[in-house]
Amino acid sequence: MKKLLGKRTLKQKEAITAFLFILLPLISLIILMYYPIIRSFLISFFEWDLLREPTFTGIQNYKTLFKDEVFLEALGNTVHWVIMYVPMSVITSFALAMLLDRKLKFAGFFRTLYYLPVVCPIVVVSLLFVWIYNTDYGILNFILSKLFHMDPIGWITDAKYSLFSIAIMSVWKWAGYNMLIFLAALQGIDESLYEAAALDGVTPSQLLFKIKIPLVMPSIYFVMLTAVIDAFQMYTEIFIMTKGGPGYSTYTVSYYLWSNAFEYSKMGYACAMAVVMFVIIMAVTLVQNKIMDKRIEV
Amino acid sequence: MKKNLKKTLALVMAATLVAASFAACGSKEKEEGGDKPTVSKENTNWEGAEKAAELEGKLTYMHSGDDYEREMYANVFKSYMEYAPNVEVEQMYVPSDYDTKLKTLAAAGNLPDLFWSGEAGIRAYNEAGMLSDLTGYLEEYPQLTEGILDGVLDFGNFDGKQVAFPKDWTSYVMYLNLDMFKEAGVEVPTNDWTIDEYKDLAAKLTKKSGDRVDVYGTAINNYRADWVNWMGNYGAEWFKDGKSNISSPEALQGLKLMSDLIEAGSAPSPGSVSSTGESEDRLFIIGKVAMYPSGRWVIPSFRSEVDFEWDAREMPQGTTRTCPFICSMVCIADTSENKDAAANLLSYQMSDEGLALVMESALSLPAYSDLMENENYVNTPPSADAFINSSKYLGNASQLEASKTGKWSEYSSIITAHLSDAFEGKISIEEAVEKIDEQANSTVFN
Repeated sequence: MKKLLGKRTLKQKEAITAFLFILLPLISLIILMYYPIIRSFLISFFEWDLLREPTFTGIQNYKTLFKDEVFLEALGNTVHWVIMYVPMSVITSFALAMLLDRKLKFAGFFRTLYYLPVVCPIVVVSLLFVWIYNTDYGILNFILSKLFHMDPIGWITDAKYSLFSIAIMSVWKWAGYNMLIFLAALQGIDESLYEAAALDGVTPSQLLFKIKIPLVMPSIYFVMLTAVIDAFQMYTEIFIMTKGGPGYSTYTVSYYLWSNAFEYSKMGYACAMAVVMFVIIMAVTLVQNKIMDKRIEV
Repeated sequence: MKKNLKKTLALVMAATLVAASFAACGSKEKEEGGDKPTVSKENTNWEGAEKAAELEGKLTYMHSGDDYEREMYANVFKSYMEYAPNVEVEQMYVPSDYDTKLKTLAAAGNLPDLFWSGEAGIRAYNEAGMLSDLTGYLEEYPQLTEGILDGVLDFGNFDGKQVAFPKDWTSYVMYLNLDMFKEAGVEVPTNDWTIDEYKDLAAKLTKKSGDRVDVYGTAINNYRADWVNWMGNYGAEWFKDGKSNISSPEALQGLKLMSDLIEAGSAPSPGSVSSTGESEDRLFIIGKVAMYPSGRWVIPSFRSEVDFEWDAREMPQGTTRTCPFICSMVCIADTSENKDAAANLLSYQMSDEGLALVMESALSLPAYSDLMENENYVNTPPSADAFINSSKYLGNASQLEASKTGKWSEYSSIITAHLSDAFEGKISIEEAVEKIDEQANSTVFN
C-alpha cells in the first residue's frame, strides 16, 4: 500500500484509495451480476439441458417463446399482477405514512406494528394467508358468512380471485417497508410550509395534492420504480401458495422460467424468457423514468 | 434369492452389536493390508462379502427422502462398512430440491459415486453418458436380479444397457378408516371390490351438516400415481407411439371417475385441500377422509399418528388392474473412480441383510418376489395382502413409455394444470383431456 501511494500527489492518493474501495464491490458486481446477465443472453441461443453440451439453435428459443401459450398466459398474468399490485401497494403505504405523520401517542408502537410483516419471512406469511383464505375453514370466509351471509369463496382456488388474493397478501407484507420511505419523506417537509398553508386557509385535500404529494414525489418515484421491478419478478408467493394453479391462472413469467430451467431442464429456453423479461422491465423502467422525471421537474 | 430370514435378522443384530462394541472400545484391529472385516463372510448369505473385505477407497452416496430414510441408510452404510472396513461411505443426504442439486453437481462434473434418480429422470443422465453400465455387475452379483419382480428393471434399461437399478418400489393401495365403516354400518370392502362399489361407498361414507361436508368418503390426488392407476384400471393406452393419448375413451373413463367423485361431493378437490396448506393424507389422519388412495410411504406416519382402526385394500378394479411404478433408481456415475466398490455397496444394499435395514420402516417394498411374501419385509399393519397382490400387476406400458421419453416432468405439468381446471370445475374433464393431448403433442412431443 505504501509503495502504491509513495510518491504521489494528495489528489492521486485519494483517487487510488477511492478506486481500491470500490474495487471489491465492482468485482462482485461483475462476477455475480453482469457476467450471469451476459451468459444468460448467450445461453438463450442454445438448447441446453445442463447435462449435455449446449447446441446452438439461433433464435429458435425466441420463436418458440412467442408461440408458447403458457408463456403468453404467464406474461399476461404478470402484467395483470403489476397493474393490480403496484398502485395498491403504493397507495396503501402512502396512506399508512399519512396516518402516522402526525403527533400521535404511541407513534413508535404503530410504526413497529405496521413494519412487523416486513420482517416476517415470506414463507411464513404465505402459509398464514393460505389458512386465512381457506375455502372451508378460513377466517375470511367465516367472517363474510357471519356478517353478510356470503357463500364461501375460493380465494386461491378460484381463478377469478387467486391473483387478487395474493396481491392483497403482498400489499400487507410489504406496505410497512414503503411506508417508512414515505414517512421519512413526509417528515422531511419543512414545517413552515404547513404554517404558510394554514395562514392561506388551504383545505386538507389541497394540502395533500398541492403540498405533500409534490414534495414527496421523488420518494413516490423511487417506490413505484422498485415496486414495478419487484412485481415483474414475483415468484415466492406463487410457489408457496398456488404452484401456478388453479390451471395456469397464477403462472407468472418468473415461475414459468423456474419450471423450465429446473424442472424441464430447458435452460436455453428459460434464459430466453429471462432476456425477454429483462427487456420488458428495462423498457417499462425507462418509460416510467421519463414520465416521473417530468412530474418531478414540474 | 436364497433367503433365510432368521439367519439374516440374526446377522443384522450381530453386525449392529459388533459395530456398537467396536465403537465403544474406540479402536480397530489394524493389520497389514488395512482393516479386517468385523463381520465374517461365513456368517452371511450376501454374495459380495468376500470381495467387500478386499475393497478400499471412498464412496459418496447421494439420496433424498425424509429423516426416516436418512437414518435407515446411515445404518445400511454403517453395516456395509463392517464388511468393507477399508471403504469409507460418505452419505450425502438431500432433504429437499434433490433433482436440482443433483443436476447442478452433474453440470459441474462432480456426480457422487452412487445416487438416486426418479424413474423418469434416468434418460437425460444416460444420454449425457453420465451413467455406468451395470450389466457386468448384474452378472458378477447374480443375487441382484434373482427373483426380481417382473418389469421393474425395464425402467432403468436403455438400449439393452442396465444403467439404473430399482432399489425398491411402492404399491398404490386404498387406506380405510375402519371406525367410519363401523359407524356408518357399511361393510368393509374386500380386495376384489370394483370401482362402482367404491363410488357407492364413497357416497355412503360422506357426512354433511347442511351444505358443509364434515367427512369426505374419499380423496383424490392430482398426482401421477392416481392418474396411472385410474386410467390403467380401464386398460387405457394413455401414452402411445410417442404421443399423449389421454383423450382415449378408456383414459377419459378413468379420469372421469376422479372428477365425478368431486362433483358428487364424495371427495374434496385437490385445490381446496392444498389451499388449506394441508394434504390429503393429513385429512385421512385427522379423520376427515374415510378412504384414501396412496403409496406405502404414508405408513410410518399413519402408524404413529392415526388413533383409529385402519387397514389397506387393493385399489378397486375396473375392467382390469394396474399398479403404477413409483421408485427411485440407484445409479453409479460413469465418472466414479471406485466403480467396483460402488457396485459392491449396491449389491449389499439390495441383499436380504441390507433390505432388512430399510424395509423395517415400511416406507417402501422389496423388489423381490420371495421377500414380498415375507412378513418381516412387508410388515403389518396394515394387512400385507393388498401390497403382495398388487406386485402381480405392477407396471404400466404407457407409464414406461412416457417416462422413458425424458420429458415426463413437462408432460406431467401440462396434465396437472388442465386436470386442476377440471377438478375445480372451470372446464369439463372432456375439455381437459382434449387440451392435454393438444398441448402436449404440439409442444412437448412434436
